[in-house]
Amino acid sequence: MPSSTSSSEFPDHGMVERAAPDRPWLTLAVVSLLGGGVAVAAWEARARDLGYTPTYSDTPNLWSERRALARGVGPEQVVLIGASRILFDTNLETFRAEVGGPLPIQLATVGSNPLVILEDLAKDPTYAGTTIVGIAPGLAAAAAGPPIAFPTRYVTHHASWSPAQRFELPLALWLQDRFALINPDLTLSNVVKGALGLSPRKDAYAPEFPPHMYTLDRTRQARMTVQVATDPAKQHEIQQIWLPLFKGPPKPAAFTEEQWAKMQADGWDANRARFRAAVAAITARGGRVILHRFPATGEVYELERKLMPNVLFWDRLVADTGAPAISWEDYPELQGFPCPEWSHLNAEDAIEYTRRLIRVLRREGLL
Amino acid sequence: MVFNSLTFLVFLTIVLAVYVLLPSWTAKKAFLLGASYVFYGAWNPPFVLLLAISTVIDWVAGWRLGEETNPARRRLFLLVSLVSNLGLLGFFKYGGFLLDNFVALVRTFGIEYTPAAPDIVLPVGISFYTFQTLSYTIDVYRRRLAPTRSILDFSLFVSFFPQLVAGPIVRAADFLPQLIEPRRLRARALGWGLFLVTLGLFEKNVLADGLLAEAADTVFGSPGPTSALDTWLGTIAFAGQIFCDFAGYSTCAIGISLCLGFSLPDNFRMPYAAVGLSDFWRRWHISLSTWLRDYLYIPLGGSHGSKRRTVFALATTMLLGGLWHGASWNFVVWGGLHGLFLIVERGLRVRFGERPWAKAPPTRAVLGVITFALVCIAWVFFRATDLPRAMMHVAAMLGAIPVGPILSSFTVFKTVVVVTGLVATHIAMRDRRIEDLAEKTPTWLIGVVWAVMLVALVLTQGGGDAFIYFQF
Repeated sequence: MPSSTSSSEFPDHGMVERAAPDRPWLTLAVVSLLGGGVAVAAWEARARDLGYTPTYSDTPNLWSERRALARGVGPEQVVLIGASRILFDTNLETFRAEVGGPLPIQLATVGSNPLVILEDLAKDPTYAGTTIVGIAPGLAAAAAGPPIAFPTRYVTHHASWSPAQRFELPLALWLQDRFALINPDLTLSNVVKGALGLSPRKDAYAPEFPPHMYTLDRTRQARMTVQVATDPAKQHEIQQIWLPLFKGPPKPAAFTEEQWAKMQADGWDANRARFRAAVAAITARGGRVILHRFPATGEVYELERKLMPNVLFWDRLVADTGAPAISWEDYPELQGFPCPEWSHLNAEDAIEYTRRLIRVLRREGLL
Repeated sequence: MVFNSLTFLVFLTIVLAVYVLLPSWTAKKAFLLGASYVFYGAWNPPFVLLLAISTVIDWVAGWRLGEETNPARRRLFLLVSLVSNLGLLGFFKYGGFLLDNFVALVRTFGIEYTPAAPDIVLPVGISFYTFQTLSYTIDVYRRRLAPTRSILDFSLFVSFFPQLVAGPIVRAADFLPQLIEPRRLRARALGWGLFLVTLGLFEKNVLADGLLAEAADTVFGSPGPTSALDTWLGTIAFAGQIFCDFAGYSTCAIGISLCLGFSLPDNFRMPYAAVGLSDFWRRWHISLSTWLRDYLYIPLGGSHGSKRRTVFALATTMLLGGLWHGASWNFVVWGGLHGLFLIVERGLRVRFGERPWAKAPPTRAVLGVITFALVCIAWVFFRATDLPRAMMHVAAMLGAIPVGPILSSFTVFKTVVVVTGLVATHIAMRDRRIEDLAEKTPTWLIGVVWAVMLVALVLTQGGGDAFIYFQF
């Protein structure tokens, strides 16, 4: 299309009829597909050799399917939110068998501040379920960063969950059911990273996240993998990853100790106010909110006691929200469970822990 | 639906199969139109109505503009098209932004005003198809283009699914002629188109999402400032990410169109090998920059008026071009910076451009580095979540904030390797097109590269993440 004047700042958009380079493209397509297929099959065999088995990925699409089930529910429907502890340590089928009623809806996401999903449920005028909130003090106090970003991604995804994304879910699950190589540990980036084995940067606060340590089913029932549950070397590897994560980010040089402490305290105060508002919104509609602390052991538990003492965190949250609260520390039957990597229960213990938790909830008149 | 999804793989397979089997050209076009509406409706079905309304208004306006001879009436029909298109864009894209700024303005006068939250959902791709239809009515008004009598052809021009939601912004003069005669489907074009789709998906999934997003997300998602080195690394990672994301989409769009027998224009020509900002804009998002040139810059006076007029035209064009990307002051600043760079460059070129040293290879190499650095600094405003944070990142890049590093060794490694490889590729391919490269590469090597890209796509996993430019 002609322009009346020329310009050196902008290009001509001159349209050309595209011609394919002179190559046997369809033959190339078939050969490349076959070659690529052979390489992928070899990688699948390697993944299985390494002990990986097919499992569902914890995607926003899978979460959205569960979240959609929570619309319009009443108090008879139990909904679980929180981070990895409630995800690992609760057995949904056991819950249904012991309590009756529908299968609990599992909405917890790993490494998350439960506030984000609690607020999402509180904003949903159709929601009046019984909400059990798993509280890990370090995560519940986080005002920014991954503990907020992770669950926000899921909530945002669900808010605009499109027909195309709904159609995508069964297709993705069909593949995940069949291929062990579809696993976060085996992404190209993680494989190259493992092969290079670079030393950490000096003075960098760049905590590693643990390797994939659970399987997931369509109901988002998570189970600790057998490797993590039984292999001391694997357990030690994950324990060493937890320690810097549970210590939280270091103080930025730009702030004094006092400023940094005040910022964190202000963030926790603000979070508690938001917890209180969300709990009030759900209970005002006839729903219920129950706070629960799941067990931790070893140095992770010691760190939590030291850095996030109950008097400053758990007790204040319980007092401010006014929600019924159960901490494993207060009930002998919830104690004594070993956490193989100091922070989560294995799949068998999760079943027994769920039974005992239900007994406690009943005794306290909460179920 | 997004190209990098299993859903699209199923959709494209069905579309190609049915398209090939349909007997008549009209049936093929009608089927493509239906498929395009399904493609668009898969995001949010009600917005199909918006697309249809915009199409009908512009088709009627174009038809009337072609028939009408009365200048006043012609202006009226053009006005109907402009008001309806810009009205839709203004309401859906800038409604909330205008309201926020109005509230902020009245508060500066001490008036407390809290309106209800507008809660407007932005229809995906509205900026792209609005500009596409606007170019049609303006060209018909200017008598540079004859209006099409076929509403089927015009609807397909507006909604053609490969480029509907993120371009390239195709001109009617380039696309409508392709709808007159049946397009010949050739096996070679189909295979080449599939190669381009693989390349585009490789850029998006493997490079942008799989290798570069982590550094950019870590730095720009950090609640506090990051070290100078990390902020630069996060910024160049974003420079690579947004190129691979957007150019990847355009490459897919071109490839899918070729599979269907259509040609779309290039949207990128190795922009990170640009020497100077004007060169950058000849290589970056070409379909938008040419649109802005033809329908904004030149009507505002272009480069043929007084110096002051040219400066005004450049600044206005780039500010509005920035605002086109999103309803936020960040984008205005991004556009403003590019306008400023272009104005300064123009002044320097007038003064020094003809000196022999200015054209010497070492000078051009230095200018290339400066261009890349300036483009990266401007990207900070594009990527940052708000203006104060953008300023914080710029201050961090200058070393003004003493904090420790947060990027891991591997994140640093992959960012440096991928961005260096990307820039080196742009420099090596500066004056060449991918078709030239494919002609000169041994067939076996193309096969190996293709297979490697396919394996990398499978191993990267992920997929289903929206392309960055969909939000515009």
